[in-house]
Amino acid sequence: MSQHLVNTTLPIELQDPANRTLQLPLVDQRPAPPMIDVRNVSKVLGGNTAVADLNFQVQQGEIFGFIGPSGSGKTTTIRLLTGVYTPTTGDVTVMGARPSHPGRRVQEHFGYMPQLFVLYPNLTVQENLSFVAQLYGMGRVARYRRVKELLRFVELYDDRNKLATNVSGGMQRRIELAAALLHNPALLFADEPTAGIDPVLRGKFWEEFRRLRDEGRTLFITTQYVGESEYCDRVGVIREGRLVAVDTPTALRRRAFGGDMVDVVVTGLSDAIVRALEELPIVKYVQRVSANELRASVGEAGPAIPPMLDVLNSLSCEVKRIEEYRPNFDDVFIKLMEQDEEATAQAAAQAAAQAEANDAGTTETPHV
Amino acid sequence: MSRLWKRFIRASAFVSKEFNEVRRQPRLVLSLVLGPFLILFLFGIGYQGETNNLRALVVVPTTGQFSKDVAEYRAMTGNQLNVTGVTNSLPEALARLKERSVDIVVQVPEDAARQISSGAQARVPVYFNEVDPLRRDWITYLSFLYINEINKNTVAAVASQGQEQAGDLRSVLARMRNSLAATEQSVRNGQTQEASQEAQRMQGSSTNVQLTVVLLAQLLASENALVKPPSPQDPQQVNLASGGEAAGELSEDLRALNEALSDPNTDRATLLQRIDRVRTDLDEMDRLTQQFQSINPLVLAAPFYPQVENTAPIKANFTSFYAPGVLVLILQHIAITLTALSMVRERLLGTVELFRVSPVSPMEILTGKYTGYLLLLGGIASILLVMMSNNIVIEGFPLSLGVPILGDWLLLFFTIVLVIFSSVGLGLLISTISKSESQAVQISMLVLLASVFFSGFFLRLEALWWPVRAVSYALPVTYGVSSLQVIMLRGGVPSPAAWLGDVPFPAVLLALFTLGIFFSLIGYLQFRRSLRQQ
Repeated sequence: MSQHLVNTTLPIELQDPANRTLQLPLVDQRPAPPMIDVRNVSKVLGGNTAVADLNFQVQQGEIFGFIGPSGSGKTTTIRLLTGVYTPTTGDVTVMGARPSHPGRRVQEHFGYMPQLFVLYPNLTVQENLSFVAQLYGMGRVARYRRVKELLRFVELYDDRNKLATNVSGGMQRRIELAAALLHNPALLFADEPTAGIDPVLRGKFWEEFRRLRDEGRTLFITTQYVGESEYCDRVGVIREGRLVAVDTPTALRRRAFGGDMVDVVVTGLSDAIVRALEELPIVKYVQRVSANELRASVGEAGPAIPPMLDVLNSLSCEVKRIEEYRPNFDDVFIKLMEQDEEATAQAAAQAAAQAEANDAGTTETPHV
Repeated sequence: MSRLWKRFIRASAFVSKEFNEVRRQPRLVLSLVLGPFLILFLFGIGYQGETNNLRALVVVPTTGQFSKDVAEYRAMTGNQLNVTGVTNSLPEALARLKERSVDIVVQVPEDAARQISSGAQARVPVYFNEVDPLRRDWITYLSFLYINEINKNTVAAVASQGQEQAGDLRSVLARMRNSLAATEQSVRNGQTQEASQEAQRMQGSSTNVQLTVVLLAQLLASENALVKPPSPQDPQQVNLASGGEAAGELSEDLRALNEALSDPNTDRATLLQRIDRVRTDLDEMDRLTQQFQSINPLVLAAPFYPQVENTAPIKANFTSFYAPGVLVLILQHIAITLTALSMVRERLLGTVELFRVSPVSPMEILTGKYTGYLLLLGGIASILLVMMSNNIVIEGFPLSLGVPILGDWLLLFFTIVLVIFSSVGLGLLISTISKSESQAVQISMLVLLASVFFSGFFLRLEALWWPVRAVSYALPVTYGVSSLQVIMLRGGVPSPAAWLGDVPFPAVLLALFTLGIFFSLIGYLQFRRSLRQQ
């Protein structure tokens, strides 16, 4: 993980553990404290472990994506971070404070977009947004201006007088997003913000998220759209309540496939060519994709392509195309899930074998 | 922006939100405002008071000369009893009572005369078949009233007989006056022997007069107060019961006359003086007897009648009397239902999750909600009060209830605010124990039912067993109903002792306020707990 330095344009006020208010300097070369710090956190709900042993940090000014299948613990995690839940074990710190007792001045910097529509069906779109703006203490003029601005952003301005109950599910998600952004939060928690949103608007949402990030705001976003990981600075992959991996999208891709992939298309592809490429130390393995195409696994694609091209030229091959292959994130995600499943199964098998051995030892002891 | 101002903005979010939510439900608004008014209006034009017209069957004995003419019995009874038939068979009458084709069976006693003459009261059996306790009490009371009426008529009949006897007495007195005139003439003529004979005849008649008068006096002994003059200054009013005394005087004066006549030494002047005294006694007796005869026998039987005067400032009809209670009951019910439903809905919608994350505090949420409901219900109460009290006539058709508001409007306003405040608190409390909207509605309805029974709206609090009255005092409506009735119908603050028993008026308002604080505090603590992290 890269070293994060404080470099913000926002005059964010934080509270230290002693509850003193701190004003962050605009430029500071010291390592910044993480906006979110999660250490060994577990949460048991109704006797079931919803999340176990979570460890990760989110730095100021980054988009942290939290990806996992349905029921994997994404919403539980976001509720732990927002203070809706308290951890059963472990510590959570958000903006320097415990979310269970963050203090009003810290909460004023939180933006929260829940997974479900939690606003009032009998109020209009505009009234709902105005209500949330009032919850954050926004005055009439600022409220009116900001609501109008966000209504235009989420493309609901023309529908502002419709009752929330009469708009589609996608529109309700947009209302929720607008509500979460009303008070310009320094830290935005968004639980599946793009669910049910059309691809065009989804792109617009991510554009806005990146703009917010560029302003120095921090975003913690859960999603089921694995492809959206590409838009995140870092991604946490969660499965069955456990954090499988936390890294940048590129690093995760490499982890899933053991490195970068290079696709090569040549005329007259032969076994000799495959063997020659496999003999290169930078190449981990080569796989034939079709009659003229092969895919090579390498550490990093950039440095690997020139030596591969030299080998192919030395074999007098006509190279039609050689380039890095970027598997889509769905494949990365599936691969990571499969790897974790295998690892879990192996660990379980090992544990069972160990337990069996222990049992056998225990049983034999009396005879000894 | 100051923190205080931000707090105000956060709380006002709930005020406008509650208003907008209610505004979006026009049927709800209509039912909130027009519903209570229409109920009262229908009650006002529809309620006829207690009818209690009982269908009666009279059972007369086969012996004796009892009439079987229904009309005759109807004429004897008032509006409360409708005699539908006369029969000789008690089993038949009881069978009809069982099938409820009649409400009451009255059995005329067979041997009433014998029982009375033997010194015992005659029993008049009255049968009814009623499960309604109010109606049961009404029939029992009515039986008592009718038996009293029969007793009165009986006494009147006896008094009438006495008056007839008084007619005979006056004849005797007239004869005595003639004899006295003859005696006087004989004395003037110096015929003492004839005069003495006439006087002795008078003495015999006097014994009869004295006996008759004493009997009449005894007859009226229980009623002697009625014939006493109300004022000693009125010479026309004579105490008939003193007739016995007057008869005694007559007898004494006659005896003295006879003694004087038998004494040869008595001079004429003394004799004439004695004759004058007897004449005066006879005049007095005649006057007494004449007056006794002129009195209506019914007055003798029932000398007293009530002259009722209500000192209340108004003569309230049923609508006016119940209007304050209905107003308070409606306000409490709406406050409880709206608050409980709103709080439960926040939980079910998931907005509570939003509140947990946002900087809004439980106190700000509740302040906003309380303010919203106070304004909303205050508005409804104002509209209802105006609609109840004003004389609205549309095309000649009166749409007003004409309920008077005699008291201080400020006091009325203050009391209504306290009723709403404590009712919202109760609604908040209900929301904390309700897991769903249907549960909240269910409990609200139970509170409404309890309010009708225990608030003094229909049944007086004094009629409740004192431990049960604790329920009454736990309901805001109990204080509201009695407060509004006094303010609206009696015109202000009554004397402290006349308020809810011995509870003074400020104590009522204080109790209402304390109740509101108590409910709100428990509700607040529960709500704050529900907002805490899980």
